Amino acid sequence: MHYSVQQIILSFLVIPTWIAAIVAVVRFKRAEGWTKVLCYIQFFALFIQTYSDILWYRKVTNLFLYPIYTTIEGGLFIWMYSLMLKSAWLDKARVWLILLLALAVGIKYLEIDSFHEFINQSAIDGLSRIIEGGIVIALVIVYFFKVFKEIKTPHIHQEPAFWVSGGLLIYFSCTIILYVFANFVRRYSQEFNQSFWVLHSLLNLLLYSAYSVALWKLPRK
Amino acid sequence: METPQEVTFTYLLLAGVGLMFLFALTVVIFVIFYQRKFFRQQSEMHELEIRHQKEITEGIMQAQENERERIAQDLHDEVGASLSAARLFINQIQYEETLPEMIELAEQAHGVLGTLVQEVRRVSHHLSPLVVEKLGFTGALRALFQQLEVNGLKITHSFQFQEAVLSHEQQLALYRIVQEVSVNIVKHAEAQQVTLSLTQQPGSLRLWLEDDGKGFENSKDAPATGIGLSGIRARASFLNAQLHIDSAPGAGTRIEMIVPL
Repeated sequence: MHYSVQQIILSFLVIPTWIAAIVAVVRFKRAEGWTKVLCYIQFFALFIQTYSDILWYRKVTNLFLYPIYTTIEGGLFIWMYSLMLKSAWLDKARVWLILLLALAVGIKYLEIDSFHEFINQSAIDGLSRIIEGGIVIALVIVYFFKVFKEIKTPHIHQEPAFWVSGGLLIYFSCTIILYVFANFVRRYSQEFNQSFWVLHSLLNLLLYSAYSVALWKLPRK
Repeated sequence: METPQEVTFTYLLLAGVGLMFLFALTVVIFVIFYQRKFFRQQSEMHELEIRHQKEITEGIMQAQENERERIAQDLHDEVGASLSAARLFINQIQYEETLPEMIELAEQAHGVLGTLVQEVRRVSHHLSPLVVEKLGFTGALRALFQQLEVNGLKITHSFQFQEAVLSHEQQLALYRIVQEVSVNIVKHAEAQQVTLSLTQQPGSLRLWLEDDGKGFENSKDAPATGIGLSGIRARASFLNAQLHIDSAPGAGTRIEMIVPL
């Protein structure tokens, strides 16, 4: 079986997800509160990544995973930030925010007639990623405001929350642009599509590296 | 092989993503840089606050020391001397042979002890905050002025404020300040005339105290603690008041304090 250079690069760029998940396992005992949720995000990401890779290698479409992955991951982010920010309003609103995200992502699937149609969908659900990205960027901005409001540490780059928030801000700022054009790129050409995914994987590499650093920096209990 | 349109579109997409990347990275760097700056500023402010608190504590301790010194001096000079005199008179009685002489000594001892009782009452009155509670703030000040007038000072005072605008703690602190200044005037200033005014202004109370005494060196380098200024400053800090002391040798002393209400 022949794989292009881009496909090989894509295969290797799964490694950061593995590394982040391994660090999450190693640091799981130290994790508590929002960092525990961060560990769950790594385990969930690894599971979805592995499953989608298996489908990809078997030449089966894995695009149906997008809305599921986005809803669960977005929900975990909202939960994580509600614990990190220790905000009363976010504590109250988190369930509604998660439900709103699920509704925003799932509303268009109400028109689908069968489960088979859902599994075999041929379009990338970019909108769900854009909605998730918008929510996460808003949460990151709230975190940065809190950093200025409650200055606790001389070196913010020593804080795991900063690494996670910085990584998420960069990742979602860039991927929002990518997902706007995701379906267009996919139909445009195979070559261009693969370049697109290489770019996406590079951003993934950056995000999961940030996760790994954050988890590695977790202080002892 | 990519078509020219693909290449153009790739570049456009890359440029868009690159711009967003740079923007997000700038935000992250901004947060790192300014958070560090804010932390430094906050630490400096915290340090200043601690230093200020330390100065207040030192002032309060110094004021306490001054107060103790004054009590010790009063006890030694007035109470101790009177008791010694009374003891001498009482002791002398046993050596007297006639009754009139004994009665005379007993009367002298009685007189000394009477003065002593008044003296102890004065010291106690000076120390007790009850005077403010009993007589009210302005009443306590008037009583204080009467004592000063006994020492030959001419006091002119003017009260243009509602006593109720001051809390009990504020009244007590202001009373102590005036008391401290009065003691300084009697002990050190050699003044003839003292003017005090308390005037209510919008959101504040202005205290003005002036004497025509010999004044003192009021430069930054001059030691301030020895004449009880540290206690005044500590109490002014407690009141969050602005305190201005203007004095020079031979030119009297003027004290202005603005107490926020």
